[in-house]
Amino acid sequence: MRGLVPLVAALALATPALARPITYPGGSMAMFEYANESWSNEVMYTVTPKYSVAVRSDYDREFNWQFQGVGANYLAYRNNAADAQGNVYLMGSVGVMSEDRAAFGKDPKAAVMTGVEADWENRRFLVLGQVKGFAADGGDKTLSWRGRVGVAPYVGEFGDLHTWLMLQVDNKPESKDPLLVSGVVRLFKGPVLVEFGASQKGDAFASAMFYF
Amino acid sequence: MTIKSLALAAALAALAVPAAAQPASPASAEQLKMHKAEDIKAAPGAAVAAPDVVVKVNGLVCDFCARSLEKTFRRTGKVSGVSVDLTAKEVRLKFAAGANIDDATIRKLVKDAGYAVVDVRRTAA
Repeated sequence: MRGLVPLVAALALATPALARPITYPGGSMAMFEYANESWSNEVMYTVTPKYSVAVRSDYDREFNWQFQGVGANYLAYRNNAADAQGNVYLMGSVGVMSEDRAAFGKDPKAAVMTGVEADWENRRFLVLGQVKGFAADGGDKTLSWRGRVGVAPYVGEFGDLHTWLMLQVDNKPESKDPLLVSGVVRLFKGPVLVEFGASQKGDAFASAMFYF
Repeated sequence: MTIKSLALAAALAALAVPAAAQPASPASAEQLKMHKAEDIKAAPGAAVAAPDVVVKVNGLVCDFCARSLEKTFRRTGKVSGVSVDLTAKEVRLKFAAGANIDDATIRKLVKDAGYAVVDVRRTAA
């Protein structure tokens, strides 16, 4: 029941943060993100150490499309080192893509989302890259990628407030602003992670993740 | 557009506050006996006094890792305390009265949570 609170909060804010899409068997996460005129929401449930299932919703304001789908995330590779961890994830969803958010479902087309994410971090530094694409029946498709480097100004213990300062690069080739470089602050304590920042163009970035 | 987005960021940050303000009040030994293991609400990272088992783990780099392992062991219902030390890279377990988890199961639980066991050490009774 307690788990419903962050879930409802995430859905109510209607918005995924860039974080590990698989936790541990039985664990769930709700993630949402606003970036570069796009919103993403994802709620995930980890079924096995390698798989999670997910429900997601994406909205691109600039190109006026939305996607609702169900899918799965797969941990393709993990390296657990003494002081660091590296991962490669594959993500996929099938669903419906449609135009015009206000009409919710206008001219729906079958669509898929696929993505690959790789990350490495220790307690001081992190590096992350993600490529994500959507394709709809009829030929509409879009591809975007993101890169991140981050540093923790201090190393906290379990339960402390953790802070990360990150540089994020987003590339969406067909956008009017195809390359955005953003400064992002991540605050992370307990089951809640929030991020906020702004790009060189002044575009805001915000994301949150609840872990339950 | 930007203002709305910043408002969202502020809202998200505000949301984080109640969750961040968890009381740091580890239960006493007597209190622990009065509750089922899965109901114990020790503060995250609160040290387990005199652990029965210390598990050295690779891949522990963040609070999410720590929380995953903490929840994994609490859900067994066989521990009265779990603490994770990110610096020492250790998970410390205190078993509930009369309970035990064998080494093989501990290794499997950690592996299934996504981490690598380096060593499982039983402390002297």
